[in-house]
Amino acid sequence: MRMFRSITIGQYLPGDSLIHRLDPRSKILSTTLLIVLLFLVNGFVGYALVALAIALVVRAAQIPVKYVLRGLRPLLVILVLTIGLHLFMTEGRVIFQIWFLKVTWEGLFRGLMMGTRLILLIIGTSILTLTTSPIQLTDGIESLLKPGKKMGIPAHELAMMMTIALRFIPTLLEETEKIMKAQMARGADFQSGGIMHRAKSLVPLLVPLFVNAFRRADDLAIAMEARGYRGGEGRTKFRELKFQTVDGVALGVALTFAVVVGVFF
Amino acid sequence: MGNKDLRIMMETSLLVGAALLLSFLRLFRMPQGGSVSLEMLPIFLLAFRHGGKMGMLGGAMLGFLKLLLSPYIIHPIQLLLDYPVPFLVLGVAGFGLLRQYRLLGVATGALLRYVTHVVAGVVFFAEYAPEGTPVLLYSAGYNASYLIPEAVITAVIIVLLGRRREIFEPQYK
Repeated sequence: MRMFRSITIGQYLPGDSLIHRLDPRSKILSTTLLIVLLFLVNGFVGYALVALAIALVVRAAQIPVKYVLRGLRPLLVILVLTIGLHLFMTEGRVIFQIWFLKVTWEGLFRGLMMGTRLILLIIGTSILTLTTSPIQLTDGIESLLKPGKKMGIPAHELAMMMTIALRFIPTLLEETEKIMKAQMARGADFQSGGIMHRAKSLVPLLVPLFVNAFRRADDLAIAMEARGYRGGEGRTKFRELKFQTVDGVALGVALTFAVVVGVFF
Repeated sequence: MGNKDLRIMMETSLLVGAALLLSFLRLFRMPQGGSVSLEMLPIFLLAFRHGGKMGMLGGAMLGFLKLLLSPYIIHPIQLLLDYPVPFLVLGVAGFGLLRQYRLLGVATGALLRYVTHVVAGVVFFAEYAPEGTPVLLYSAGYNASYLIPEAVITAVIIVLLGRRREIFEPQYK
């Protein structure tokens, strides 16, 4: 059962900070602005300003720096590769030379610029997922996609299905563990052997998992039908999203910052 | 909205949930950073059960949820090509001949996913790496390193599940 211990679903860190309480729509739009901004900015002053802004938001969100930096781990290889490639492959004034490898000032500059942008992108976007639960995010996306209804985007149905998918991950996980124990009691072995062997040993796990999932889908459909579910029209919510003044202010600040930094730096 | 539509929608939700769960259960990790899981399997099942359109919809949702849970955004186009699109294209396994000959469907879906990841890699390098880097080669190699084993294992399991009609055809219970 070692397999299951390392599972963390998403990165969300529950909290009660100003950033946590912001409306997900305001946070999604601000993050989008940040991504666009990072591609407009071209210079260290601009990056420094963005970094400062990100640091302030991290502070306000009361996220431990450890968590923010953890997101950078998968980036490490790409970061080293990007900086390295620029360092050695850009033509320009040579700083020093090892055999045929020339390190240039221009390369150093470009490499550091690209590296900074990557780091800021990853940290900036991870703030959104660290402070907003997946359910809030899907609610926010549903609301933002509403105007797309005329273009045939079934925003409500998509959000509902994604929410149910998220909701049932823990249930499916529990069920998987139960089936696993049941099959192990019958002598199944999920741990040993090569990758092919292990994949094959998963079949007695997958069959009941899927069959149960289909049965549960039937039950869910019947239960929803019985409670009068008939699509998004006129449906009310237990937790309504409220776009408050503070959300407007946050979005306004983000927009002003993006325009100023984007235009001048 | 009839009962049948709602049932298909709920099945899609649960299969997407199962795909997300399977994506967390890594069979093993590649030294270069990719990892092998069975995340494609439920999307293929969805495509075989309810056709290509539902498969593509479910795939797109899987990609989207992966984006919400652990985003890795380094370029706006890369965002699209690494999250919704590669899983959306898996759904083609539910169209016509591909649905009939499941292995062909799995191979086509996986190949299309591979192509989108490779293009995403090229987009990334075009932005971040200096000119003259063998971009295509690197991206093609890296993505093949985890996607080929993943596709082969998924195909093996599809074959092993083959006789279970209740898994591939919704009318059997």
